[in-house]
Amino acid sequence: MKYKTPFIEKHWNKLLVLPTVVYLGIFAFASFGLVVFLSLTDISFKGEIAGFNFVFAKNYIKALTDPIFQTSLKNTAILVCIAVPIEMLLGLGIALMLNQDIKGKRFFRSLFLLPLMTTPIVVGNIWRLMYNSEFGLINYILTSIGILNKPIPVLGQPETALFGIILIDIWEWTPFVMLIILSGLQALPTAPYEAALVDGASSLQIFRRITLPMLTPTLIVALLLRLMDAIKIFDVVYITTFGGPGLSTEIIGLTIYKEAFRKLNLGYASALTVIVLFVVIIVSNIILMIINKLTKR
Amino acid sequence: MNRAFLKLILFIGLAASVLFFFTPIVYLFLTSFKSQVEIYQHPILPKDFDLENYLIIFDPQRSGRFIFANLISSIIASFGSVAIALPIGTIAAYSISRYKTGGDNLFFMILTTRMAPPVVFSIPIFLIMKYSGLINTLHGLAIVYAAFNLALVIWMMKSFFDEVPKDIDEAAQIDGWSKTYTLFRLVLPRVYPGLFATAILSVIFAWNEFLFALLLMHSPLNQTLPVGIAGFYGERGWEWGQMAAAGLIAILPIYVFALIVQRHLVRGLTMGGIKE
Amino acid sequence: MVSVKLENVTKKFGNIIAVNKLNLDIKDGEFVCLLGPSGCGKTTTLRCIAGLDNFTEGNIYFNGEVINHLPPQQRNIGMVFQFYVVYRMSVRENLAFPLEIKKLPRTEIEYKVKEIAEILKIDHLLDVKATKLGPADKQRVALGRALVKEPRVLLLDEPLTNLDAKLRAEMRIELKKLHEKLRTTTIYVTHDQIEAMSLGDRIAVMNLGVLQQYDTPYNLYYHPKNLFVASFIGSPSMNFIDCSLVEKSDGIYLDAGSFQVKLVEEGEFVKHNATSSDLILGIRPEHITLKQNPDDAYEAMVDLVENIGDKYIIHLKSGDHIIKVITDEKLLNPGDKTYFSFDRKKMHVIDKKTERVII
Repeated sequence: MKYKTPFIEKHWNKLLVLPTVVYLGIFAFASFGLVVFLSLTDISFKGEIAGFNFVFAKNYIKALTDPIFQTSLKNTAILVCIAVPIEMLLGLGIALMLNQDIKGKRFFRSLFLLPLMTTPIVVGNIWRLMYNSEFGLINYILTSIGILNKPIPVLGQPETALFGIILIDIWEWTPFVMLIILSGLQALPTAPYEAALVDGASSLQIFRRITLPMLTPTLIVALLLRLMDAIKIFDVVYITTFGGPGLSTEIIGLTIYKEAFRKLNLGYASALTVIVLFVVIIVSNIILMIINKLTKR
Repeated sequence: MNRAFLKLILFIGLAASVLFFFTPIVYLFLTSFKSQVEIYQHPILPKDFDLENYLIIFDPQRSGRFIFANLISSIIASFGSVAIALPIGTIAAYSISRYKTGGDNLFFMILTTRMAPPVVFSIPIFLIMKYSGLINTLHGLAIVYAAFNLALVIWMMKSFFDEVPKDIDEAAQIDGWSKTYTLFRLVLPRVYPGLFATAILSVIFAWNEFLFALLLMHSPLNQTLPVGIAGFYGERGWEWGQMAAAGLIAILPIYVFALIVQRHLVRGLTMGGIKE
Repeated sequence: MVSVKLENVTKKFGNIIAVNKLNLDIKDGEFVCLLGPSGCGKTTTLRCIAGLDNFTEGNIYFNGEVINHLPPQQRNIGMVFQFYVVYRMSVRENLAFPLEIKKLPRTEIEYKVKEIAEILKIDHLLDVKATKLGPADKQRVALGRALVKEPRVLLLDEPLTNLDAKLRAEMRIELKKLHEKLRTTTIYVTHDQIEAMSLGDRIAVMNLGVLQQYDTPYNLYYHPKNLFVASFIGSPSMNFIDCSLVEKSDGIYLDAGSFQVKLVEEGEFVKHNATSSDLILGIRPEHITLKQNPDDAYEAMVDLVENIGDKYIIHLKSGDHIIKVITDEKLLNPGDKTYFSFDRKKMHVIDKKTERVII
């Protein structure tokens, strides 16, 4: 078609994003508005909306002193601070290994994808099986070899439950880090590497002084993405421990879910949601600044 | 000193990694062939590879679950969401790629939807869906999934569009073609592989989703696979073998899809930040 | 400072022979160029000498010692790559890098870095981040880094190819002066024959993995051994005129169709060494003179006149042949009739079948 419709031509770029803006406007931003609104009420929900009073900041004050919320923040922080660094290191290690000249590199890379792609509910189930103290693989092998005297119900006791979840997270997400770093490694130019060989550097020296500095942007991307995603953990905890035993694996997502859909305190849950969202927005602003600085280099 | 030693470390490291990451999946596979009794007796290998569990789960009368219906629901919801998100997101991606529409603000808006924990949208979306009558419908779920996938679609497609040289657009302008023609007939064909990869990746993420399927789908027939599988707990005792079989049904299609698009996986995971 | 010897070095990539039984003897302190078109195997050879690639057969010696299995780190070589390889550090850190690897004392490192920076005239850039420099300076840094460790052999892989013409000419002079000062055994890969001719003590001309001729620039120019070398060296390139060997009653002639050249002393030699009567007459454009009259000259018509600044390349048409002549004065126009002759002593006769230069 060679004819032009002047209006379309002129506002073309804006028209193209319009559907997106509308769509996201409804779902993301109207939602947010609604949540803020609800957070100022004590609305509860039993099949239908029942009872509706404005309580303004009361929910927020309650949140600040709520031991469950505090525990869930703490647990989430522990999980993120332990799991993510381990994922980064393991991911880096495996990526370095896969970057060597080995046969079947593609095969291994495909293999390592799988934990990441596994439906999280199924991931939870797999590990419930693995951790089971009566017939689970882990306890079975460890007691057979003799490392353990009796099986440990990892997910059943408060001391170990959170670490059990952390291990699951590591299993699920290390491939994510590994894939990103591997891509980064493969994109690095070979010439500085060869020059360093000629200059007499050993593999370790080359890694420290040449490879690592060039890999830093990739590492940062992987780290930031993991930090953002780790906070979202929900499905795995839901299907394995549901926050228990006690509150030992209570994480943010679960707390909000329970408040809203089990205890039916939509108002209070909304306030928690707003607090969490606030934190996320601050973090994403920081990330945006960092990405901008990096891409300008 | 080093060559052979390093090779050994490499081998051990790789073997250990494969063992760690692959064993649980294999374990699920093996468990799916065990009856409840076998699970206790044979901690590792099943007695034989009989498909009993698979037959049970597809029969609602024996299992009390509707796995087949769940499978269909999953398919409808995930492909449906792509059918919505792909067109909307792709044209927006083109606009952002060529004209940098919206600049940093739009970028930020889209970034936030990717970053925020889904649970923060759970309450309002639940209410919106309920009071618009879309709750417990598959098309309603698809609409919600599309909202979440938009960010991914826009990101990935933008990075694919960035790879098509602007020269084509400009030459078309000079030749007098309308912008509509340029996009749909000239540029779009060049990103078909990207469209395909983005679609598959979106399907994967929608398929794996749990929270909103749980909240919005109440009748067992409408529930998606993750919800159906989650329900194995607490019904007739813990039928691990059946649960494993259902789990395998859920993950195998995803594995196939993931392997098909693995070239573009990193691009999707990093929002177009890193390509392969 | 070291002599380098390549003995029957062969490198295969699968079924493709990139370097075919290469034998090369490089003397201590010599500047040798590997010259040839793309794909001739020169870069591959260099990388084998460096140890970055393994070769299939043969041996490489440094000062008589086999170094085939030594990794690059242990060969004590310096290398400059085509695409300005500098590390993302300051110039100073770049230059210091090889010395730090060797764990030399700090003071010694600083001294050597300063010295090489001064020689290469980058001492004012020492604290600048190397990746921010222009291409010529980057190459100077790369060169400095290669030289700072006082390598036994310096290897250069087309280092000037990516510089613009003016910079290239300047750097060429700098390189030559540098070599005269330091006298490091140097192996320089290029496809630019002007570079090779001006820089090399000896040049190894290669084509399709095979060494064509290894000689001084003078000999390559005046005494090429085969058709390839004759055609590759010299700009504009040598004229090649198909002709046949004809024996007449009064002597042996080269018959080019539109003209004949009588072979006087060389006649018997050519007849004896040619495998057939199909020959090629080779004469460089700079060795042909234009004349006004047909005395002792051959007739031709002007086909095209190219003006390349202060000189003219005149394309003459004689029969089926196009013959290029290079001259200072433009006295002719396309379509003019003119006469040309050449110095017999500068003429070459090449066997068409074997491509070997007979005289």
